[in-house]
Amino acid sequence: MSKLVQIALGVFTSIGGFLEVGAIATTAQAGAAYGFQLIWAVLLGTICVTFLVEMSGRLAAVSRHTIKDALRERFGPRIYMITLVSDVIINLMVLAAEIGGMSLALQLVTGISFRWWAIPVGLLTWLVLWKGSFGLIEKGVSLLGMVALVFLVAAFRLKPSLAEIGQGVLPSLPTDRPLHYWFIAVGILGAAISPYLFYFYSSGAIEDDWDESHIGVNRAVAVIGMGFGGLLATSVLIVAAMLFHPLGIEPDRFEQVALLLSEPLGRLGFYLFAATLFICCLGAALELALATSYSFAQGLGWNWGENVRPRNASRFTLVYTVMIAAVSIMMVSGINPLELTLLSMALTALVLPLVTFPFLILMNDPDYVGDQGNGWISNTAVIAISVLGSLLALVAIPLQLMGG
Amino acid sequence: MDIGREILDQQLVDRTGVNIGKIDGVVLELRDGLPPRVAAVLTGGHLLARRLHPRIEAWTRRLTRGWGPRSHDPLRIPWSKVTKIGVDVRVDVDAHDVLSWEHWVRDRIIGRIPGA
Amino acid sequence: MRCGRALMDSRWATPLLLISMMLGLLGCSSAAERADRASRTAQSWTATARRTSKALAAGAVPRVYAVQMLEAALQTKSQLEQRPEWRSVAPEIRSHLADAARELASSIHEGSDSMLEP
Repeated sequence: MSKLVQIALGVFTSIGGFLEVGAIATTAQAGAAYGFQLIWAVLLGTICVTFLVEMSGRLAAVSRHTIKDALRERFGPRIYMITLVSDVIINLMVLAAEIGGMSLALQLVTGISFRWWAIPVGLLTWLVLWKGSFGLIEKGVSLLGMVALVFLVAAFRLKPSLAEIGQGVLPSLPTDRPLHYWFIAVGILGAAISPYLFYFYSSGAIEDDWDESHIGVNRAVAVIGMGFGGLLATSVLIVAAMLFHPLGIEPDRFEQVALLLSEPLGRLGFYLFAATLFICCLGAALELALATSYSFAQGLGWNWGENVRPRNASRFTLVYTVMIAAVSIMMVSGINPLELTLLSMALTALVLPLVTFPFLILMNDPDYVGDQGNGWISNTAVIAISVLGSLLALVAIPLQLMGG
Repeated sequence: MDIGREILDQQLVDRTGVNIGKIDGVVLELRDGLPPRVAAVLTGGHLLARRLHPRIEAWTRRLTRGWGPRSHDPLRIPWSKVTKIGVDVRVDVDAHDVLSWEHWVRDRIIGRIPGA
Repeated sequence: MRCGRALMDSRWATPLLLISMMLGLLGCSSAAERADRASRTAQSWTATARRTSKALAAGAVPRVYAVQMLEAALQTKSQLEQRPEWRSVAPEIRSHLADAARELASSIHEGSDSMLEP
């Protein structure tokens, strides 16, 4: 496969993975409540995740270890276990939200309550993992995820003011409901900087057999893919800023978000929204389930791999099976997927330093990355943004929970 | 040899490339007048739980009572079987002879689902 | 009383004091904030219902979606009505929500009536 094709595929994967239920919910909320003001949060999150994704690919290519594998080796079982526990808790919540997103997409189109769709959707997700190969998931679902470009089209159609967008790029303090502002900002960071994304990416690099010659490809994929993903997320924010903000619509249910595309694009926009929600959440659900399986298997030494038949990686398979089953059953209860999403995104931001600091140590350890270690820019950017996200979350989450 | 850095928590791989487990423990042979020597590596059992905290080990033992393969003891691989130490630790063993929990999950759960 | 004294002398005194102050502050501003939030939610759903009516009339959304939005709007309305702060919300805001829901309901029925005509 030529390097160019590899880059293209990697980019498509990244775009599809970036815009999932978390990104849609947080940016729609942000645009609706604060207009263009929170674009800086999307930008910051995108920059940070671009660094992290590039780093995870580089680690895999040079050390031939995935992040989790290297974590246990370098820091021992205690640190590994702590990250595993926090991973599992958050991944479960986010997976539940993604299943919720898919179920809602089906509800939008059929009128049948999302609670009825939770188990069929879970079954479908499981089947794709059971029967599919890594290539199918990476390429198939992600290519379908390009439907998310509809948000970019909608944003263009609405002709937003470039001056206002430019203002939003600079961080600003809220003039109205500061607590809500920071809670949304934290959610945006958590949605963009999702650990499961780069754990998945590093496992993918191993499954695709990357080595040092792939470092250039890796960098291109990370920058273009994440950059484009960030652009899509910003498009959602822009559309919400232009359509919901002036009307005072602040979505507390996903169903309302469908109006964002039906306004500029009519009936086709409505169906494309449902399709985007379904496909992007499916992609994210697959990545989340796999990332959790990888987390267990790579730290505990099990046989693993999506290209391996289930019976040859039974414990690996058992993890995602149990996870999907548990979460689907949970969503039958009718928990509001939008609220679950916002909370889980904020929690993701809260534990960022726990995820990024050990990772950064690995990326500066010549035993693992040889002479391909981090420069001071990547180190500084990731540290600064993780700490910022976490501190904000520490303050915003409890106050939002108590007030909301 | 720095046991902590080079052996412990490394990935054990069999002669065909199949993962066996992580090295959770090491058996040292103490010799009079000579430095101790690595006699064997250990994987599995409740060793990992014990390294985290004795209470965690008690908890995992209670959880897995009545489940899984007959023996919950760690797998012991003599040092003489180690063929290469690099990215991982290769041993001259066939994984299918020793993967007790993996096979139990395969036979009792995963293997029973169609299409495995 | 002795427990209280011991508590205040312990190293937990300062954090506890801060936390209880914070909770107290939250409690005080809560009432006004709750009314504000209820008012915003009402206005948000009023606008949502109106846009859905428009979208339905323009054919931009299918009827099945409009029905979902009507159910959601009515559910939100009844949830809000059960809260004590609903009485402090301005009467126009309360009636607008009811009006918008009614308009949406009639748009939905208009649509289905016209489907029955030959």
